[in-house]
Amino acid sequence: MRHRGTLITDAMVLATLLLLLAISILASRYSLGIWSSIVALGIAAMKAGLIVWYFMHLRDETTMIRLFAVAGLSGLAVMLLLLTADYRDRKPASSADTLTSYGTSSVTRQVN
Amino acid sequence: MTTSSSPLLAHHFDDLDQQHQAATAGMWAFLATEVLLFGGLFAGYAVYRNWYGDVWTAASQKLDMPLGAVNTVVLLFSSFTMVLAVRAAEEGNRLQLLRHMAATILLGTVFLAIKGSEYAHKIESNLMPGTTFRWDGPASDQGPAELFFSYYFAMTGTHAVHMVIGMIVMIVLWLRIAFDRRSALNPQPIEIIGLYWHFVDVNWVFLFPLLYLIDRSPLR
Repeated sequence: MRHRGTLITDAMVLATLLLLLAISILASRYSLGIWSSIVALGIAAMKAGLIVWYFMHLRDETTMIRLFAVAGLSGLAVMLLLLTADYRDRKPASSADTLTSYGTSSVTRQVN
Repeated sequence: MTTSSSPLLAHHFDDLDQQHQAATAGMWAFLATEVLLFGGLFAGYAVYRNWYGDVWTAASQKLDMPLGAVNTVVLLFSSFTMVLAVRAAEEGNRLQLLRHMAATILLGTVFLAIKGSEYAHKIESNLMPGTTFRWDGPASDQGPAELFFSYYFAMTGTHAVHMVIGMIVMIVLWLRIAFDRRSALNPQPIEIIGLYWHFVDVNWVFLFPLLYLIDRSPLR
């Protein structure tokens, strides 16, 4: 199957991916609270989008194939949504009591 | 390219286009299951990062970020060489195909070597979850810290296993194309393994910031 897009296009996509990587590393050097996560994941999503659209040739494929491509992420999004709804109302295990490390430490281990 | 008389056409398809659609849809369906597999790990990560944010941020500092960044560059280039390999396959250029596939496999090997050295260092530093784990901090931080490294090894380990599988398939394809000239005429296997390899790259694109880049501000 012949694909649209020249070698130049693919090279430019690679350059963009490397640039986005540099930006994400740079951004991590700033403590932006919740925005750090948003920026990091946003950049990762952009990189993923570029790879899927250009490198995986989704640009040239039919709607059916594109639906297959989106299916996995959609299913995951639903799962994550349900997970969030559940875990929002849970408390974290209060560290030393229930989340015991199996390793040794210089401090006496807490026993359950 | 939609002739029904091509030697590449399997008998149960009407034309090459339909054959391509079937193969591609099949691989994407498999990749959807892979998204759910890694998604489970990402989901667990999300919960614990939320609960133990401070300890996880500190634990993330222990990872070698420059090495992780180099690995990301290596994988991005390997995706590019894979794109070149698919192009060569579609153009029927056997030598270019062999060259670019070899480059992809080589870059994958570089990635695994770097990962291996990272793992070795973690084990030496007593950061491998298990009886040897030792976290420099209060007792209440031991559990959450070990949890971070459990996720680190689980996520990057599963990713590495996927890479090894992809590379084995590529080596088999490479040998087939190298020793059987006729198999170079069919670009489909290369396109399909290309999809798999790009997926593995996309996976790492998410793993790197989540594990290595939690907070790299200089004041830490």
